[in-house]
Amino acid sequence: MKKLAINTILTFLLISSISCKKVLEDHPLNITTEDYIWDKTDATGAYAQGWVIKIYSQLPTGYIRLNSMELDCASGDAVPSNRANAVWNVINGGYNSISTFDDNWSNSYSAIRKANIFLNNYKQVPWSDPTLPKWLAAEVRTMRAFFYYEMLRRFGGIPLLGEKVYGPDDPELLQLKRNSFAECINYILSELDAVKDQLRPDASLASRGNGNGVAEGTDNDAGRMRPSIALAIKAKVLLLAASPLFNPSATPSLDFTGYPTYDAQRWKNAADAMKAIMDMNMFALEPNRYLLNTTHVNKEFVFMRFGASYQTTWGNLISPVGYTVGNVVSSGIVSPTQELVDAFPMANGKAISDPTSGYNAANPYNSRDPRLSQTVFFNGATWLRRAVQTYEGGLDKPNSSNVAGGIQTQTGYYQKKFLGQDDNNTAFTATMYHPGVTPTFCLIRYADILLNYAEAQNEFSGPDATVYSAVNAIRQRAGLNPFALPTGLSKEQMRAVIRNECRLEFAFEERRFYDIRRWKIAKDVYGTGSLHGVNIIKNADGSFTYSQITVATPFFNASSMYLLPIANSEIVANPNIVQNPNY
Amino acid sequence: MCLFILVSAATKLQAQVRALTGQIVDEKNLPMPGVTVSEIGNLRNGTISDENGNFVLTLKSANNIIQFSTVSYITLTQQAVSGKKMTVRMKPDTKGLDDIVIVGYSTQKRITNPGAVSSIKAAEIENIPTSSIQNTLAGRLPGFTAIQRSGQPGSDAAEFFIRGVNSINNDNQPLIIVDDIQYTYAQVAQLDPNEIETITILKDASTTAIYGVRGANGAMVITTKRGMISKPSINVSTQFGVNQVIQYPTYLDAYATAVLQNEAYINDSYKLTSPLTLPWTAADLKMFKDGSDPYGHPNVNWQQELLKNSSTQSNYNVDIRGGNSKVKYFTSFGYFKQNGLLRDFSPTNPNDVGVEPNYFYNRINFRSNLDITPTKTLNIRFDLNGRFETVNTPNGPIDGDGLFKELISFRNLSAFSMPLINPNGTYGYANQSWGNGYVNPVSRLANSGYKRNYNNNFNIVAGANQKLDFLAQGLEAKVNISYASTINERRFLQRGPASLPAFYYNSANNTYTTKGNNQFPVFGQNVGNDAFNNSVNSQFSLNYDHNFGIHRVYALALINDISSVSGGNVPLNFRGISGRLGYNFKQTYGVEFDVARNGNDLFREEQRYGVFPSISGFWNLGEEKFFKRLFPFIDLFKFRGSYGLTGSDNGYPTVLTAIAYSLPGSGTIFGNGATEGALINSDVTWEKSRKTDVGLDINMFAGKLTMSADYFYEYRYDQLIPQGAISAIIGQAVPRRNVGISDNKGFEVEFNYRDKIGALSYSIGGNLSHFKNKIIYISEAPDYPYLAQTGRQIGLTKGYQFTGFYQAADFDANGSVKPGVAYPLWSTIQPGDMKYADLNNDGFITAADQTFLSQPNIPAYTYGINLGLNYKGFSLRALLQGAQGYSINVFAEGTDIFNGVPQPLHLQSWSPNNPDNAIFPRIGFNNNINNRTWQTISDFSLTPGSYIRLKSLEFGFQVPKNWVAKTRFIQSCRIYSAGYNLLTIRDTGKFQVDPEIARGSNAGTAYPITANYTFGLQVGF
Repeated sequence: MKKLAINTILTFLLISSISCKKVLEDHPLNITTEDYIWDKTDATGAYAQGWVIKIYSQLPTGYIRLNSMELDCASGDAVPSNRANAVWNVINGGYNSISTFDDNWSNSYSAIRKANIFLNNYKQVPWSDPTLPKWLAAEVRTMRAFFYYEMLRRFGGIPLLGEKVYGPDDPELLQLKRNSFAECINYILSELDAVKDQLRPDASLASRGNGNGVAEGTDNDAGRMRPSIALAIKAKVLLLAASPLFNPSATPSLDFTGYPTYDAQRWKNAADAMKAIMDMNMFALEPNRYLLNTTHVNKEFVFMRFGASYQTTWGNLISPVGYTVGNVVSSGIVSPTQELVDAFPMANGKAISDPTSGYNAANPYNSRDPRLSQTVFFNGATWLRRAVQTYEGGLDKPNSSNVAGGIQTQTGYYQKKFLGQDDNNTAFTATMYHPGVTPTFCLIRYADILLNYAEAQNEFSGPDATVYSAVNAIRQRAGLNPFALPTGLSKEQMRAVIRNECRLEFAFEERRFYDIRRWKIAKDVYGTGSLHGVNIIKNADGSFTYSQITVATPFFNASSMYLLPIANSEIVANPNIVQNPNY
Repeated sequence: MCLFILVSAATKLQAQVRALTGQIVDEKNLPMPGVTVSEIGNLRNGTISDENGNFVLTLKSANNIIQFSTVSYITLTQQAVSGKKMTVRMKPDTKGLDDIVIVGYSTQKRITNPGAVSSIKAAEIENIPTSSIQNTLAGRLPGFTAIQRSGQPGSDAAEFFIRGVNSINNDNQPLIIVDDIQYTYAQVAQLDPNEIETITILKDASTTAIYGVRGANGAMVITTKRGMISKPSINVSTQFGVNQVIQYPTYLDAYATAVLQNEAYINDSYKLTSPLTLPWTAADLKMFKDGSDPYGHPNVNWQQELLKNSSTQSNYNVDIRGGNSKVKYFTSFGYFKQNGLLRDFSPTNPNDVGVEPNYFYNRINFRSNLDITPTKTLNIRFDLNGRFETVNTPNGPIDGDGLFKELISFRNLSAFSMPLINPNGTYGYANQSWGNGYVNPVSRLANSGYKRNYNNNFNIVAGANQKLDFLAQGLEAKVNISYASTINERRFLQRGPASLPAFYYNSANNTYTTKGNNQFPVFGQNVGNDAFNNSVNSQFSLNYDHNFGIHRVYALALINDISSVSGGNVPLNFRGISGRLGYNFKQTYGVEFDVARNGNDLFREEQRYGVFPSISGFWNLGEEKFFKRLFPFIDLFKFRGSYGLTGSDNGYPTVLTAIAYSLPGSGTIFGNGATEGALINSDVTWEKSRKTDVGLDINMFAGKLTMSADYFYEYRYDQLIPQGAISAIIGQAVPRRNVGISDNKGFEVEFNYRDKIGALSYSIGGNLSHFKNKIIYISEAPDYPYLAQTGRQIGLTKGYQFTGFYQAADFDANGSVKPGVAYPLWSTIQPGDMKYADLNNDGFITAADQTFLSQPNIPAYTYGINLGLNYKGFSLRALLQGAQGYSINVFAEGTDIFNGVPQPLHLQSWSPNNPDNAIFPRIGFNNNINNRTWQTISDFSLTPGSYIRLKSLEFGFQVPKNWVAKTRFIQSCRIYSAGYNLLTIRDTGKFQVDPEIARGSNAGTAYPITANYTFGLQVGF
């Protein structure tokens, strides 16, 4: 009997151990699946709207987004103060398909994927407001066009995906080919034309909010794609298509490198597109250029990438190393070159090389274009109520190997661009830069439109009155006196003026790097000879002696480097992607 | 149910009854308990001798022949003598052919085992003074690699592998089974060696296929001691010892450091328009040298001031073991404590008494293993055990990597960073522009509190084993249910080490400057508990083993179910069946099939289960007649081989069946939007390993010499690895795929010889293991062929090939690199900087010039030599253990000057006066990237390592019986002295590191490994 009892217990144990039934979920239910996004029960489409926000967040910004350094440090206008910064690799050795630079390839295709997913799915949402999905779809298509433009200006033609969303095993993914440059241009233009009337209408600039729900104005949709932005992107795309790099291509047999033949009409198209924006009478130049750094509620910004709200940290990052504000020693990370400084004319508008300009090499920063002191800290400039000291042994160039502090200038200059007007303040004004999170950055402002118009119109029809008027407007706002250009300039002279104005007006705004490629002048202005700085000795009598020093000898291979290389890993994965020439 | 009704019916059978009594003794005439006594022709009728060796058997069949058998003794058959008490003397089986070998879920005899197995009895290692059993196993088990990375109390357990590593995926941890419960890698270290009976490692497919999806990394099977039929014996053992640091690194003093710092500033002024101001004047240097200004120009050996050379450890064990034919028991209690190397600092604040900042580790182990035999055929088992450990570390170190990183980091501490204590008794802080400005470490260690972790483990195993001989002779059913839980808690008593009061004393004008705080902040406490984890493992098995004359058939069928819960998460269920079927002919030929079909709900429902078969066999040439005639001294000469498939799901995350999207954040247009997560691969499956093993087992000279040799080949595929060759045009992260393939081959040999010369018995043994793996397929798109990993070993360091130093001849008059000399783009180069090979010949040193360097950090060869001597009561045991065929990578603070504290190595730096014999680049203070070994990894910081250690040595004396007998209650007494890591002969190149500890940035910053010396006493009652 005892045995039986034991046996019974054993059997019970056995059966109970096998027949345990699961009472908990056997697959994770805490995953946000696709169905939650394209919610068929939410008539406001809150998550679908959130999807569009994510695409906005992938629009580019400037500032120190590349190796904690500004893109303009690889354009000849500046060098990183820290010799260990990886941008020196680009200055000294360029870029290649193994180590690419600023390719924006993954980010662009990632954004394009998100756009396509939206366009394939947003109609599942039972939108209660019929205009909202129409607007959103148009915004998404506008941004998709912009991301293609981002790649097009770097590489030439790239694969166009249409509305396709690839899976990881899609065989087609590894068979994609590069579309021709012309196909890409046409596609982008057709998209922008198709959506321009479906976008949310332009609102008044004065009502522009800051995108954070904290209204400087009442328009909290400010920053979203609007007809004016679509027009501005279209104009930039047309300008790119007309530019010497692509019109015509140096390698006509490779259709992705540009147009096979030159067509002057392309300049006309670009000029007309720029003109269309001027004719909207929405935008104007802000008289005070500092306003462009401290507020985005202004008349000049056409296409903003909104980010976090204002901070004073740009001052810590960029101010000369002798300035300590709020217990933070400034880092002075950018060293502008002598070449950039010399490009600024005198306040009378004459180049410093002009013997009649009044330039005095012993007092080189006196009576210069006011934009110089808005762009660069030079020795003797006033900042936070003291003179900047970049002479040898000065507060801002102490020549000590102190690792705790900032790293001093390589050139005798520091960058000032994007700072407020704090010459007579004791602390930094808040500006748009924000560390750690994506800051606000203006991608297209009205000054672009004017100078781009001038460039295109000058190329198409020579320096007519409208060209003069556009360029003079820029010079007038800059504070040159007299601001008017001498009449009777040739087309070539006017071209040189416009190109220099672009350099000065948009210094550190990520234009120069791509402009010198688009104009095919990079070899001449950047890849031949050296970049310089200034060595300043303070004499016993308080005067200064200036001498030029060499800081870098940039490397530029004109046979390849006008177009950026596609990363080698893309070519290895898909041999159908043909590399740009000579990489 | 019908099965059990049969049981009852069968036992009703009756037969002729004749009572038989007797006593069984061994070769020394001592009574032998626990011997199985059974009747030939009716083997089911049997009994077991009691604690005095006596037995009573009632004979049932007619032939009156009795069989006596027990482990390690020759099975004896004898004619029953009626009416008279029999005396049976058994002889030990010295040939070792019937030695029991543990294999998955059952046992085998050495003579018929077809698999690759190594094992050790815990008695051989239990006195070795280290807290973690795996530390003692290095060099003892062929095929077992153990590497001790740290000496910190509570974290000094060696990492270990079976047959090296063979997973690109870093899935190399063996399956660990302790008394049928699956343990984690970390839990093994908590076991008390005194509780352990045997440790076995299972290496090939025939022994691991039965574990199915968890067998690919080999298995470590540990059995604990159980009760036995004997009078109760109480054992008390105590051990007390000292841990001594094997080697502290040597650092330069304040004067030498200041001289080098000046040299660095001169070097850093290269090409500067105005040279840097030197940090130290001649007057400063003089004061450093003569110590005339101990506060303004201090010279402190921080290592010596903060650390002791040795610490203590102690170990206490009590166990009781015994039993009779109905109940057998083993209970054990152990306490282990290991102290840390910090000096005993008294807290500044008198209220802080009782705050213990020093490193320490203590552990309580208890175990109670109970066997109850209510009927002759039923055995019930109930095991209870637990482990409670406390690990303490100081809260004072600010550096995230702890105190030893601080000691080696120049920015934290240098010989002149601050005086040990200010003249007024306060503590200072590092007040130099180049430092981190930390408060005096003495104050931080004494006053900042501690971080204490409590780890608690409980295990319960309940099981029953029913013999089913009435159904089939040799059949038994077994059920086991185990419960294991861990609860880890913590208590941190913390006072911000950066916020302690500290004062800079200016010796020039006798003033003090405060760092900020003048008061001690209040202690904060951080109390919490980590997840409560538990798992329940249920097993039901049928085991069959029977000899039909010269034919033996054995089989196993097992159902296994593990459900584990981590905190409040969804349980993870593992489930499967395993089976084994074997056949032996005359112990000469054997074949065995093993199969497991198991899986778990990590994987998608449709593909949760895998089938893992293996086949193995042996041919025992030694049993062939011709061989016996030719080589009569050879007892065993067995060829064996196995081939099979095993898997590994170790470390796999739950497979996602849908892409995880993220929802939008609040507010901004350009803010956190909703988006798609990484693409998924719902077809994820486990890694698989096809294992081939051939081996040879030899026993000779009546068991005096045993040898084994194995060659193995493992082909590991379906490894889940990232896709390297994918186009970013897809616009989304792509999932890992089961495409990686690697293989691993190697060999193991071992021999043991034991003999006697008069009263001296001795043994000598040795083993050698080797493995070498190779990546066969990895998804990669290398930019240059030399950047490919395919064809190379797993775990190589990627970096530059160091070719020497730039010399003055490489530069032109302007100090620029001459044409034709390759130079890096990341730094401006000057003479004395490190030079690397320009592998792509583009004239620049760039990331594309990296390749895979040297060897991995896991030794390719490990070996051990052990010796044993016994003379009367004296015994001596020693183990020499060594490893080679690996590389040590010491970078960052471990080697870089002024990143790390200057070492004697830096005195041999490149300088214009020493351009040819330098072993270190020119000294720099704010060094360029090119010379920073943590940013520019190269084989400069990589060196081949090798070592041989006197891993353990034990000398013991067994007090003679007649001495202890006088006390009446003491049965036995042994005193011994033992040591661990006693002597080290090493090659670590130019670096001052331990040959085992060194790996990556850990090198030089880990708690040092210690040599442990101990004295112990074992008393039996």
